[in-house]
Parts: sequence; structure tokens; C-alpha cells
Amino acid sequence: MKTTDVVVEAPNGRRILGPISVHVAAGEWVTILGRNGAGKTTLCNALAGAVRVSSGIVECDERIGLLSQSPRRPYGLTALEYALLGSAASWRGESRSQIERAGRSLEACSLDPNQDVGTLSGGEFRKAGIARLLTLDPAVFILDEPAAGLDPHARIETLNLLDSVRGDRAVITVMHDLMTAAQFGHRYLVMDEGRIVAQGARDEVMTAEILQRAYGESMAVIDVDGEPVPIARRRSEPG
Amino acid sequence: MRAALPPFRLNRRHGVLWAGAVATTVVVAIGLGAADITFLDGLDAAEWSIVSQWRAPRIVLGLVAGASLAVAGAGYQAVFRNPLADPYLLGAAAGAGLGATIIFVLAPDATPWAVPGFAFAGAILAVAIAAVVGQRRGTLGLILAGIAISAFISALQTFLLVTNSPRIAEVYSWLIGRLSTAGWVEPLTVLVYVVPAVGLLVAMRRRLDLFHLDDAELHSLGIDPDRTRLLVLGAATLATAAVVAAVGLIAFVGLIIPHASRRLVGGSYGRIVPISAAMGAIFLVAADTFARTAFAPAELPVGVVTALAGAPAFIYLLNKT
Repeated sequence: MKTTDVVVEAPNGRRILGPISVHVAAGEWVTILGRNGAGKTTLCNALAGAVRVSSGIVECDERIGLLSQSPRRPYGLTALEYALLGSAASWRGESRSQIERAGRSLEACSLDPNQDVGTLSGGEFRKAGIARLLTLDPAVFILDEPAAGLDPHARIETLNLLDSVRGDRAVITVMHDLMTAAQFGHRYLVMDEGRIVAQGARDEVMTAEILQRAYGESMAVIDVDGEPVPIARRRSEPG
Repeated sequence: MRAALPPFRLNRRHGVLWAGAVATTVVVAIGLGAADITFLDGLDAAEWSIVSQWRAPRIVLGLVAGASLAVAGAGYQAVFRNPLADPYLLGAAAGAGLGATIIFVLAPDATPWAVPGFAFAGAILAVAIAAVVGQRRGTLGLILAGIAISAFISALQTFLLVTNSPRIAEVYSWLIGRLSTAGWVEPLTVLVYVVPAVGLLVAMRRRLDLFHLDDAELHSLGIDPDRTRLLVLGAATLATAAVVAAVGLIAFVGLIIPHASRRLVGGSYGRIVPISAAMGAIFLVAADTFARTAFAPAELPVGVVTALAGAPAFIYLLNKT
């Protein structure tokens, strides 16, 4: 999928995104970084067709699966029903093969199809979201902060799961936790004020200079066994 | 792992059970009333005319009104993603109230069809204005526009009433809701509107489940949530307006019945919609049977009974949720 000079404007005409041109190849994992308000979610939504693009082109021949930043948590639906939401968008409802597919997706995510999604833990609910995308069987997964609000182990587990089930699909994720982000992604896009200000492989992007420009002066990169680990440091002098 | 239940569907036992409950309610309601009718020894001519021209149309109107308000309420709750939404949320009640008041006050000698006609038009018009004004700002904009328009219309209605106080009692008794009929005309007229409108909502019940996802996720599936929302609200409002025009503003059915259904069968509208229809029909017919028999030959307005029974039930549900 690719975009050419995509611009998104607010109803008052203020530009909130772009112009942005990106190309995501099949099988590629692209991770989007940037401070709050940098336009990451707007870019995801533009790619998924969820916001009106003011100008430019979004080209994608294949189906897209979007998991929102804070997906709604329905109560009183089974995990199987949750996994089927969207796949059964036709008037006829879901087919037998879709139900079987949803069952396999839940199994891959180690979830009980009969459990009420209202009773899942935060981490399990993220897995249910991944099972829903998997049932949809799109060519591109777009996940807006799939690890938000999870403990460090659950964060890694969720992304490990995503990596293991994605097959040859392209993945686009927004991530705020840089230590996790550094471990998942073939290519990183760094955004600021609605535009891409840097992009490249991990070692090209995870530098103190780029991260300080994107997030602020507290950013630093330390070296652990030859791997760059981005961190934010507190001020050394109080006040 | 256990085998999964069929998704988004009612199991057959539930369906049979609720169909039986509706049938039982109808039989009991036909048997109860001011005149003592026993079916065991057959019906004479007088009894037959009481049943066919008096009780049966009233019960049919109750079934249709109860089911329609409950299904319309389920539709409103689904597309607003809020279990506290009801079919009067966008101004249908206020608009119908103003329409009826205009006739009671300004043209009291108009044909008997003027009151329901104006109530119907008022309800549709109020919601249409709310939709046009509020639509651009999403669901919250719609709700706020509905509240503002309801307040404006209610103020107009109050103004008409205080300047024409002799009519207050008549208007008030209409507003509180009652299922009085004169033969089959009312139930059949309501059916003309309700069959396509409620039929569409029932057919769309699986689409309502999509609103468990957020708007961005729906767009990514190629579904326009705003258009779907307007279609559902349009059908639910048409059904509500037709019911309100015939029976007045019956409180709480559109709010508590979908809520009670949700507690019984879970969050899927594939199940909530049919259960709401059955439960709404039973609730309104039962409430009306109580209203016309408890203090016979005097009659309570059924709206009083639904609110008296509905409000405590609703508070109970709120505290259990």
C-alpha cells in the first residue's frame, strides 16, 4: 500500500496531517513514533479510510484491518462473537467458514471462544482484538497503540503474538513505549506536527538527536549489549 | 475447549419460550375485563362483539406499540452506543406533544384524525431538525441538538397550554398515553408504518452489532457509520412517531425493555432485538390489562402503569449492572 501527498484538514481548514507519502511493502512491519498530537492516529485512520483525505491519494488494493487506540469493550458478547465483528458485515450474517476461521484465530491467541469479552483482562482483550483482525483476514494490519496500558510483559507478549500470527501481512503500528518499539519494526517513521521528520531502520532512527527532536530534550539512547535502548531521563537538578 | 454457541443468535428454546409467553399474555388479556367472559362454554353474540371489536383491537395495538417502542429503543441504544438512549431522545416525544397540543388548543373541533396526524408530523419533524442540525458533529452533536430542540418545542407547548388553560386536562390525558381504541382503525393504521420500519430494524439487527466497534474501525470495514446510524434512527423514529400518534407518550418501554433484554441474553443485538420485541409486547399488554381491570369500570392511563412499574424496575436494573 502507498500514499502520495496525503493531506488531512480539520473542518476549520487547519492542516492536521501531511503532505505525507509512504510506501508499505507486503510483509513489512512499519512502526510509527512521535509525540502526543504528532498525527500518528490521524495517519493510521487516513490509511484505513477512516478520515476524509483533503488531498492526495491512498492506494491499497487489499483489505485493511484496523484496531483502534482504545477499542470499545462490549459486555455480553462472547470472544467468538467479538472475533466475528466486522467479518459478518453482510446482511446474511456470518458463514460457517467464517465461524471456523474465528475459532482458529481465537485458538491462535489462546482465548476461550465462549468467554464474555467483558471479563477479559486488558492484555487478553488486546489479544481478542488481534483475533478479530485475523478473522477478517486483511492484507494489512493497522494497530494504533496495541500495547497501551499493558504491563511490560503483556506488552511484549501482545506484540510477540502479533508477530507470530501476521504471516506475510504488512503491519503498521503506533507505539509510545520506545523500549518495546525498538524490538518490533523493520522500519520506523518519526512524526512531528503532522509530517514525517525522520524514517529508517532501527539504528538509523533510535539516536539521541532524532528522538530529542521528536519528543524533547529528556531523550537519550543507552547501549545494552550493542542494542540501542531509548529512554527518557529525569532532570538531574530538581526544580 | 467447549464447543462455541451459535454466535449472535437466540437459541431455539428461548425463541419458543418467548413466543409462548406472548401467546399466553394475549389469551389472558382477552379473558380479563369488565365483562366476565369464559371461553369454555363458547361465545354468544354479545361476548363475541366485546372480544372482536373491543378487546382484540386494543390488545393488538398494545402488542404492536410495545414491540415497536422496544425495538426502536434497542436501535437507538445500538447506534448511540449508550444503554440509556431511548426513542424519545432526539425530540420525537416533544414534537408529538406539540403537534397534539396545537390541535387540542387551536382546532379542538377538527376531525378525530387531526391529533394523531399532527402528533406524527411533529415527531418526525422534530427528529429531522435535530438530525440536520446535529449530524455534522457526530453522535454527541445529534444528542445535544435533540435536547435543545426538545427544550425549545416543550417551551412552545407550555406557552400554548398556559395561554389556553381550559384545554390542559385533555392535552395532559393524551400525553400520558393510553390504549383506547375504536375498533380496528388505530391498530391497522399503526401497522402500515410499523411493519416496514420495525421490519427494517429487525432485518438490520446484525448490523447493529457492528456498533460494538468504533467509528474508525467501521470505516476501515467499508461501512459508513453515519449513514447506517441515520438509516436506523430514521426507521426507529418512523415507528415511534406512528406509535406515539396512536397511543400518546408511553414512558419507559423504549428504555427499560432493551436494557432488560440485554441482561437476559447478553450484548448481541441479534438476540436483543427479537427478545425486546416479545418483552415489549408482553409488558405493554400486561400493563394495559392491569390499567383497565384493576379499578374497573374506571381506567388508569397505561402510561401511568408503565412508569409506576417501569421506574422501580429500571432503578433495580441500574443497581444490578
